[in-house]
Amino acid sequence: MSTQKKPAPPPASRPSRWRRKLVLFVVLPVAAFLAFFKWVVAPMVVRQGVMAAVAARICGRVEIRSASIGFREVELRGVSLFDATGRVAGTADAVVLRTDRFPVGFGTPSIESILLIRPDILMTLEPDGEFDLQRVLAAPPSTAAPAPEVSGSSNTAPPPPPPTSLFLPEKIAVEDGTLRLVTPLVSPTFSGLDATLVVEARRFTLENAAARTFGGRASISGWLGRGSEEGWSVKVNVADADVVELVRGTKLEGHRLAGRLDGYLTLVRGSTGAAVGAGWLDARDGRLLDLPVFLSVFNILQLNSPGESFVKTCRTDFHVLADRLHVERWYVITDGICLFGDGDILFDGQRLDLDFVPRLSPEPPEGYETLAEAEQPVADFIRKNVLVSVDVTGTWMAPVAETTPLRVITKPLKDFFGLLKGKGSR
Amino acid sequence: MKRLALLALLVAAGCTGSGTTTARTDDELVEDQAIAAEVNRALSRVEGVDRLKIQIEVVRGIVSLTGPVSDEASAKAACAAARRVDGVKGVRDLLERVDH
Repeated sequence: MSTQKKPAPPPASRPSRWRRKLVLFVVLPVAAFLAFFKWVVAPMVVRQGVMAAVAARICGRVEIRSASIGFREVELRGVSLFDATGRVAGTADAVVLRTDRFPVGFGTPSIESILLIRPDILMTLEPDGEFDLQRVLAAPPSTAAPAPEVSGSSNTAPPPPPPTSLFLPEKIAVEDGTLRLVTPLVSPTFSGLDATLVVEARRFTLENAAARTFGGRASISGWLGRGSEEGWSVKVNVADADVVELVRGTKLEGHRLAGRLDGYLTLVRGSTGAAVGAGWLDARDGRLLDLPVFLSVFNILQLNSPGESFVKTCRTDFHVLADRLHVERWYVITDGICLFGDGDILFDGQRLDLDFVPRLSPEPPEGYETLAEAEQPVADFIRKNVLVSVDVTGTWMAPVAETTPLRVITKPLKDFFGLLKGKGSR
Repeated sequence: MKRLALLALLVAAGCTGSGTTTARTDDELVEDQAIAAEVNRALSRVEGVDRLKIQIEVVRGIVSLTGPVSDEASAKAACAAARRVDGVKGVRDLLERVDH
């Protein structure tokens, strides 16, 4: 038996050593560099780049708490938008940008889509009829076109350039947003807003967006121009809102009010700058007669407050004019009393100039006799086929009522009587 | 079809948008908005129509309706309800029939 020496196997440690060296001196540093680049440098570059890009295109600035980048995606967290005075115009928990390439180091990427996650936007209608957000979104003065050179005899200035492009995609998605509208008329907060924002050079358009407000459902649509000359339009639809939620935090909170509301409001910036528009508001299943304006009517008629009475119908149609809310018709029908109202509520101090025609019966009068000279108590008159008018002045919270002769039966009042008969077409 | 509807919507929005701030007086604007409000109220009584999903634009009495409705019958009923409102001179049916 011969012992033959086997050839020695190649040393296993050599490639292993090379592998270790490769890992130690090449792979690890590269990985560390990539990680450092991806997690530290690139987010910083993106964060600074976005803030600078936004500041160059609007009259405000953006602050971003942190950023992270993916292959074709950037997520900005803790985003705040400030106006020129440093006031917060809006915030978002996160903004996700999808790009056409890796966001850093391969040229300027195009943004393919934007998703705003839980944005919270405040829009205040200023006295000049402009929303404060329009000023923020306007092109900054430094980007305006330079003054034209005068050549020859021509000194005609060219037309103004369009606002600076925002380099945004055509649409921006909004997820679970909050919109706080502050206007002289009403200041609703819309939450749970899921919407699509259409981006154009001169305006942002909100397509029919579903939301919640005052415990009910809502939809909002409209557009907002970039800058004061561009105008705006807002349309708000509300269904099944809670009266208790509506008056919460107002001076009316202590009153015995309840019920559900449906309504619609459309506002545009008028030719003189003021907001103008129209709307309607219907209440049902409600206790509304404890409103000070109604109580003043009952007091002058020497009637006990029917505050616990349920309102079967409460219908209001109104126009929004530059300085006041014009109430075209205000129908209130209960089992005990019916009121027809119209008139004005001035925005300045909420001063009232309303007229009510009361009926102490759900039935319309047989004839339309008017009362020539009103004397108190007038309750006896309004039980009969004689009509008086109760004029309400003062303010919303401190109204003053007095009876006056009713000389004219207007068409809306006739419509109201038609409604009482069940023949109303409206 | 959707693209066509979107194009029509954008054209309509563009027309009404520029018109609202430049061409119409405040009285005309209020009158148009009042018509829009009345049409909105009228739509609340139309079966198969969710008024919260319908956008109403009015320019000098011409009403444009956009948004989804359940079917052709609902679209016709919505347009008919809009036509019955005082002051309406015409109705542009841009409604999207979702059953198609």
